[in-house]
Amino acid sequence: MLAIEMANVHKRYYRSHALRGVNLQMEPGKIVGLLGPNGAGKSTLLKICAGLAHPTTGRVHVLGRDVSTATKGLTAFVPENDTFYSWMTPRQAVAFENSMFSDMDVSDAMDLLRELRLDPDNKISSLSKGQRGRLKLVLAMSRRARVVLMDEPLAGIDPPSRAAILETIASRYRAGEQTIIISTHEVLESEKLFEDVVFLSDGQIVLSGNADELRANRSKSLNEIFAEVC
Amino acid sequence: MKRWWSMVGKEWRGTWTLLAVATAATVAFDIWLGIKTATWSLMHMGEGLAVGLSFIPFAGVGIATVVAGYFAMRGEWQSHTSMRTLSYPLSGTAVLTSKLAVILFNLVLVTLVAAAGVWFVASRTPGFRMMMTSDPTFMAWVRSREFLTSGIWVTISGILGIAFMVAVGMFSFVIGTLVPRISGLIAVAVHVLVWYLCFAFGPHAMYVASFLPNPVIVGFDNALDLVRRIEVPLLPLWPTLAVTAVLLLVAGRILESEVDA
Repeated sequence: MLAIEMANVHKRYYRSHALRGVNLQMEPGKIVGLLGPNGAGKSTLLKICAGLAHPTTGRVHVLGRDVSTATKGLTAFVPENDTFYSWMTPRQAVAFENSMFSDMDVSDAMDLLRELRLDPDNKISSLSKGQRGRLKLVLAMSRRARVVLMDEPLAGIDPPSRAAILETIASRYRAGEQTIIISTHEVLESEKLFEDVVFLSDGQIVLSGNADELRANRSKSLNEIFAEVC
Repeated sequence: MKRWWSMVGKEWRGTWTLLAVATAATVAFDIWLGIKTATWSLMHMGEGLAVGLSFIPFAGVGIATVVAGYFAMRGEWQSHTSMRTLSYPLSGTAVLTSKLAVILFNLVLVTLVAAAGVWFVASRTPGFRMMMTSDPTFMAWVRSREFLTSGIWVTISGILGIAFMVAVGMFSFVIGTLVPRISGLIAVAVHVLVWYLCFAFGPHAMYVASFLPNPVIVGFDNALDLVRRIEVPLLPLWPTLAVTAVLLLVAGRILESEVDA
């Protein structure tokens, strides 16, 4: 069963096209880089997979099912924007996520909060952008979600926090059973994580495949390929 | 159901400060009126003024009822929390009803405080005390067997009326989001249209509902110096309930399948 399957997906916002006929098949159990410049359609693609946006035309399957309330329970979405209820503390946010998702591991989440040096009892509204970025990661990675969708998890984050985020993704990833899709335009820092990559430009997939094979075939890093194709 | 209750808890935690402020303001206003009543009662029409002013909080509740559903939804989109709320494995209708439950609780509580305020202010006027002891209509009503049941049905109708208006606000917001650039305008248009349709088809719906078992509110009248019992069937009850449910179900379905967070 494929983790994500998209067939001829179009998404229009008025006259602008966010996605133009995307056909995509992502194997389960891999870390996939969804790479493209700003406005390429990466966020829209992830939101469609998470059930937070709806394709204008086309078909999307997550873990073999149409995107629905049921698939939301199997996917974890890490948005680029701050989407926290600001009056909560990290501890309350963990408890709330736990009440919503049956696959949440609260003790793992509390461990991860400590590892990432987040005070569980600080108000979220008082956290810095880097701390909020780490908290988003805690909430997603302490679930046993089969598909994790991360939208620009490094955007606007300070270098130490970026390193912590990448380290956490690498260490918490359950290889073979979990699919992590990370959208980013900051390829250099994160390219060593990716097993597969999808290059998106102007709403279309311009290149996709196994990261190692692409590097070997083109004798270039993913960052260089990114600069070439996008 | 556990998820729904969690969502209700989250909504409650997000709104209780506003409720506390509204309740405190109502109580403070009624206490001030209560203090003033003693002096105003000595003036011409003074006690009428005091009792009349004590109804002001109801105007606030009325305005809040019309806009609360719309603003509860709009707040989620403005703060981007819609992206988190809609990522949970909850149906659209469950999201809407969790908000509705908290809004209803808050509005009903403020209404009860406002009603208690009216009673408090009125009870301090000499005219009210006279009515309580000597008005035959009032005495007949209070002593009637149906006083309690009528009170319960009036309360249920009031709650349903609030729920309906909040549901209209939510429905109009959800429809508005389908056209993002002019969502506010669309929401206002949908709001007006729903009200128009309700008034246009309300009499027909009530006629159909008249074949259903309808509760009755009992009152008393003293025309021609005779205390007369009046029965008012609650014909709008079933149509209002049905329309509220339909609005929430349709808006929930659209929220799930069409609306972008």
